[in-house]
Order: sequence, then C-alpha cells, then structure tokens
Amino acid sequence: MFSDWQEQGLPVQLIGVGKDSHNSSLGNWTNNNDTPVCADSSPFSSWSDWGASQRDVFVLDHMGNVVLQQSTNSGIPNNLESVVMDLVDDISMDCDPGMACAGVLTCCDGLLYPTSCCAENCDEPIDDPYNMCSESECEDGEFDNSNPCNPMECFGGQWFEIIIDCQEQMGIPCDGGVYVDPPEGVCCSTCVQYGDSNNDGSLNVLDVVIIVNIILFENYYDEVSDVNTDGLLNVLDVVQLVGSILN
Amino acid sequence: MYKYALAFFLVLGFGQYDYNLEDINSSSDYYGQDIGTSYFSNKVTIHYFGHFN
Repeated sequence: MFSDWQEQGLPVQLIGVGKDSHNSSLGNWTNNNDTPVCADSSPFSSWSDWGASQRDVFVLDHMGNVVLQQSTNSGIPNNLESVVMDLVDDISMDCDPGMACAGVLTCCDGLLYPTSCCAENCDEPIDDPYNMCSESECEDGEFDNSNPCNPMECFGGQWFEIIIDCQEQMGIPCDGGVYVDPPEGVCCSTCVQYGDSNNDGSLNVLDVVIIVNIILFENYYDEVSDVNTDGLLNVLDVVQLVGSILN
Repeated sequence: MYKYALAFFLVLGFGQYDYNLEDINSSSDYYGQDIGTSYFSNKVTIHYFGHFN
C-alpha cells in the first residue's frame, strides 16, 4: 500500500520506530526495504512520549497532529487508506485566504490566477481566453492560409481561427450576375455581372471580344457571358451586351 | 513569566508527537540522518512502533 503511494508521488512518509535493544534483528525490517527505520535507546523516551505500545501505528497530518492511533495486533486498520487519502487531500487544500498578494495575472502550473499568490490564497484559477498560460504554438502575427476558408492567425502564442463569411454561403443573391468559383488561395466565390466575361468589374469592348471568340471559335458555354440568360451563347448575347455598354 | 508560558505551549503544540532519531536503514534515502515527524514537514507521516524481531 505504501509503495503504491510512493509511486504515485503522494506526500506520505512511513517510518518504523523500534528499540535498539533489538538491533540484532534489524534486518527483519530493513532487508529489501528502503523505509526509514529508527531505534529508540533505553529508556525509550520516544516510545513513552508517544504512549506507544508494541505494533502501534500512528498517523499524523502534515501539521503533526495525531489523527489515528491504533494497534495492529489484529492487522492494519481498515480505514488506514481512507484516513491517509483524506489527509493528503487536506494538504492540497491548504491555503490562506488572508494572504496578502499583488493583484496581477499570474500563471501557475499552466493555470491563470488573479493574483501573484496563485492558489496559496485559496483563489481559484480564472478563464484564460487568450491562453496566456499555455505553451506557445506560434509567433504573434503569424498567418496560416493553407486553408483559405479556415485561415488562422497567431495571437498570444496561440492559433485563432478567422471566420470567413461568404456571400453565396450566406444566401445573398447575386443580382444581375452569377457567382464564379474563387481562384486558388481565395475562399469565397464572387458575384460577376452578366457580360463581364473577363471579370474585371466593368462592361466594355473587351468583354464583347471574349464572347465573340467563344461563339465563333471556342464553342463552350460560359454562364457569365450568357447575357440574356437563355442558356445559349449566340449573337443575341453580343447584341444585348453592346446595348448595355452603349447605354 | 510570559516567556516561559509561551515556550511551554509551543512545546505542547509542536513537540508532543515528534522525535529525533537516526535512520539506521542503509537502504533508506535518509540513512544516517536524524529524522522525526518535523523532519517530514508538510507530509502525512505514518509511524509504526514495534520490535525488530
């Protein structure tokens, strides 16, 4: 049981206290055992001070107060483990709410506290929205656009996702035009006016040239160039586009 | 008079369940050191009193 506590790193220490009149049998306690062992000398004042008898066990809290005193003649006390565990918990809860502390945000054990005392003044950790107490993942100002629809920016040593709101995904209609897929590295589609075949934001002779070329030589359907939105690319689209430009 | 009274209560408060004996287990981390309850401050201590035989 005790070795388990040691392995867990619990603040529990076992000590054996014998009498030096039995030192010839010391090996019974120390062979293959690293527990501290003491031998009280005659007249065995430590034994008498404690009121101890043969095979008595005493459990003291971290302040040195006796919490359990019991003979083990009938075996280890049934409640020994629970008593010890409660006392260990008391240690971690040991704090002084009256402790004077500076009112500065302080990191302790990866948690953010409102004062320089951390938990020693019984304060609870507070929210750490900027992960001030976490290990840095990146350098402030660093930008990650490997996924243009989920770009990340570094702030306070942590990556933060930037929310991208695209008009098309938000349901905003593209009046008088059509949404065109974004180029590589861009998240959102763009609303392009019918007839703006080169997607430069204006209707002019360059768009007419492109549409004529598609109709005469390239023979494919381009939704942006379908000015009258009849599902076909032909001279009617050219005529309507020229009319729009002239008007 | 006050000093003696204070010392008396300090002894009662901190010295009653303590001792100062040498650790004679050569396998122990504390071998050769004088130990006791106060040596392991801020720890829960378990003291077993018994005869070695």
